[in-house]
Amino acid sequence: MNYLIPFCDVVEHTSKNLGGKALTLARLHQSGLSVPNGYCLPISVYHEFLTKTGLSEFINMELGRKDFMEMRWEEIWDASLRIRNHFVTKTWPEPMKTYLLEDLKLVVNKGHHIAVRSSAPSEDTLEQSFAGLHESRVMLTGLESILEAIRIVWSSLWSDGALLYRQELRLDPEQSGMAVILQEMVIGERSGVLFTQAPDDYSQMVVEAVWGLNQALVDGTIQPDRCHIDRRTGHITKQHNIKHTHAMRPSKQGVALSPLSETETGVSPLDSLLADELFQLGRQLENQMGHPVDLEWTKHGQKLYVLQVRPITTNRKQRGEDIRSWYLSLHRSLPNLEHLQQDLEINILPDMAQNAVDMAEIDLDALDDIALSNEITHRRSILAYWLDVYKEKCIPMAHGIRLFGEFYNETIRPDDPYAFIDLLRSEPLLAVERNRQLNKMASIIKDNPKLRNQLAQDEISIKTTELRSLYENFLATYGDMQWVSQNDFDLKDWLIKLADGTSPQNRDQTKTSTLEKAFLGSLREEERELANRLLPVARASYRLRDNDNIYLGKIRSAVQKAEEAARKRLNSQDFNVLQEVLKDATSPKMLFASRQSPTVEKSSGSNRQFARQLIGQPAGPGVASGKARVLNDTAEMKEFQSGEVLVCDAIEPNMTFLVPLATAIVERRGGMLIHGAIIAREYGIPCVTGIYAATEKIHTGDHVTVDGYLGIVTIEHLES
Amino acid sequence: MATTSSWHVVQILLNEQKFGVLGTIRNGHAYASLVAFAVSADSRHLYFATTRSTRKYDNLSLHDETSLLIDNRANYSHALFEAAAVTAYGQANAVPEAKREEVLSLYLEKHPQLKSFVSSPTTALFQIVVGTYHLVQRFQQVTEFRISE
Repeated sequence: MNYLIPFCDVVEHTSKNLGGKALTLARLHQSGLSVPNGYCLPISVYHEFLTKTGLSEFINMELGRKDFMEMRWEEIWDASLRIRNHFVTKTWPEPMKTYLLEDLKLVVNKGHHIAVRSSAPSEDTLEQSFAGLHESRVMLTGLESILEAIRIVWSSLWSDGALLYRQELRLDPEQSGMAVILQEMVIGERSGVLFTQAPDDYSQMVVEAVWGLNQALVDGTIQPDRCHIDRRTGHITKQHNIKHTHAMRPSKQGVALSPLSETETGVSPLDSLLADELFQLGRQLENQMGHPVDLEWTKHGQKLYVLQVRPITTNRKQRGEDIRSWYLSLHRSLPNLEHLQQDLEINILPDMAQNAVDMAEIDLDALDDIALSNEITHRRSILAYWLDVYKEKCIPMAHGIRLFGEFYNETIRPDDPYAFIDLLRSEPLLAVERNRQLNKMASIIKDNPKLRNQLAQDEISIKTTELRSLYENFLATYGDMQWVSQNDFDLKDWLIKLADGTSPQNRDQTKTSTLEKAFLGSLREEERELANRLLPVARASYRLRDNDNIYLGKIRSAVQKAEEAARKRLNSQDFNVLQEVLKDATSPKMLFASRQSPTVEKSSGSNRQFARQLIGQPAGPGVASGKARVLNDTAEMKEFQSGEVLVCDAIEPNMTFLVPLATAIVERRGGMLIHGAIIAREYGIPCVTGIYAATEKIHTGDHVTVDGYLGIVTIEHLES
Repeated sequence: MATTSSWHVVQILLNEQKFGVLGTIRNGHAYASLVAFAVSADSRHLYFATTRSTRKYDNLSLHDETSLLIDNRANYSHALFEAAAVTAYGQANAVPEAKREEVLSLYLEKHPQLKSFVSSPTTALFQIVVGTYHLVQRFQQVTEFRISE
């Protein structure tokens, strides 16, 4: 063999070159335990790949470009996407590729599926577990697909999750590395996990089991049956079964959910015999390894297989309290996202929209003070509820775009890691549709200078038939929007601004179908089947990323409207019940504004200090210069003038009507997939996101140049 | 013989060093910027890239006279005698379109990680047409090289 080391040949001195997971599996295999046969590809081969392709330079560039402490999750995903794209777009160096293929020919038996798994040195030690940070590829058959899977698993050393833990993982191109495990796959009828020490009760073991493969359990798509076993006696002390309907099984596209068979339906995958077998296995593993473990197992026929074993770490609790673990929970599988999409489209968003409609229909003026106070409290609880739903359901749905992006880049290997985004624009976004209607009204005013002047002087109400019908229709549809309902905001004034400005058109959507055809045509059959499932999910994810924000904005608007009604009464009355309820009034600050003030360097001594060039993420291609308008709260929106550069913490759902008038956009929130970036791309407006402390470092009136190709904002200052 | 040897030192600096300090003129003052550069095979041209929103770009648009300092110093006292520094003087202008692909490939061979940067429509690729090189060795030993047309 040139590179691969069979499990049976692994000896102690090779451990530093193999990573903990590979070494553990090889040792257990050697001890006679039922571990599927496998091979290790040492870390040195990863380094050879990096050296021969020059990848270290690219990784250093990405890691050094911006301070990671200033980056948000979305930006870290972007950085990871770019690094990983370098891995898959590099040509395999020779003779490395030939040597590796020679090895693979010797180890890949026909009829056997192969799993390719990561084994990094710092993952899965007693002190720390990094389960879920690195990737595996399963159900592989051909040599070329295994070869590709190897570099995809290598590239996952730089996954977004891993970048979050970069300090603990010592992620540095020169210092870090990854070994790979190639293992024959066992297609079990039942699978699950075993913790030989329950996290909440050290006297117990915990077993979880599902029908089929355990991918669905690991990513939370299927809830498992669970039992607790007394570590001393082996007796089951608690059992919780659920009604199973589906199982994850092999498919042409890797794995897919399928309905249970008749013999499985209504039966628990976790019977007492299996629980006892796992209890015995757990004790044996603890004895062999000298500490509690968690393991993934599968049962095929009468044989119980160990798939992965990790030490139960000592600091897992602390890690659970870290917000990073919440971010990692956003990674969802395709079946999980398909389910989530249905839930969002059929239940959640219609309910959210209906809530907004119901609130809009209530005549606030008809309520007495007590009823209005109750209504405000009620509306606030509705908003709190939907904000929770937004966090639990809407944000994870955004992972659909990521999942598709990763698939696209792995299969198409484009030079531009964001090329896939053009495929997602299949239907108009709600915000764009709203702006289209505004533009239509503005163009009528633009074509009729007399009407424009009359409107500007407030001489007449809207009399033009066509304009009037559009105007009324607009108010009926969007009238409950926060900005329209603001007392000091005049829609007519805004339409005049739009008519006077040069509004960009949203981009041509017909191109998408041509792109889709070309994309699907370039895939292999099994890839195409998967693409046909991934693309609708990604498109829904892209669309909902915008639309859910719009609905949430309507709910918030309803709260503010009720508070405004109360405020008006306060002005004309003495103390009443409304005074109490308004103490907790909703902040006029932005909904998604940063909760913490960023740290901004101040001038030292008598020296004056200015930000001259700021680095963020390129989020909308193009370059433009103009006067900056910094928006800190919703009340400032009406000040925005056509041709200005919009600078804000985050583009709020109800701010998107400003976008067509902006010459460029700068946001503190980072990433290609945030709301503002999506809208900017729709209009082809240069956009840079992820500018740390953007609203502090840039001031209204500054002349700025926004380079949306490179993610740079340059601020001009008068030179002394 | 000494000249040949010194020219060899210039060649080593131009080919092995990745960065240099670009000198331009701004409002009548000297203006210095660190840039990643590459050199042509005949050493007559030096190449660097900058975005169009930078001051060095503005400066070169007004005055094309420029210098580029390239050295191999380390940060300790004795380095003053060990270091070699070469300064190129010449005119900077945008790389002609006909030469762009060739120059880009040469530049990216030395700085592959800057591919996205130089490929951006907002980045300008410059060439310095070198008239003179001044090489300083052993603190004060200076050799001048005049580059013929």
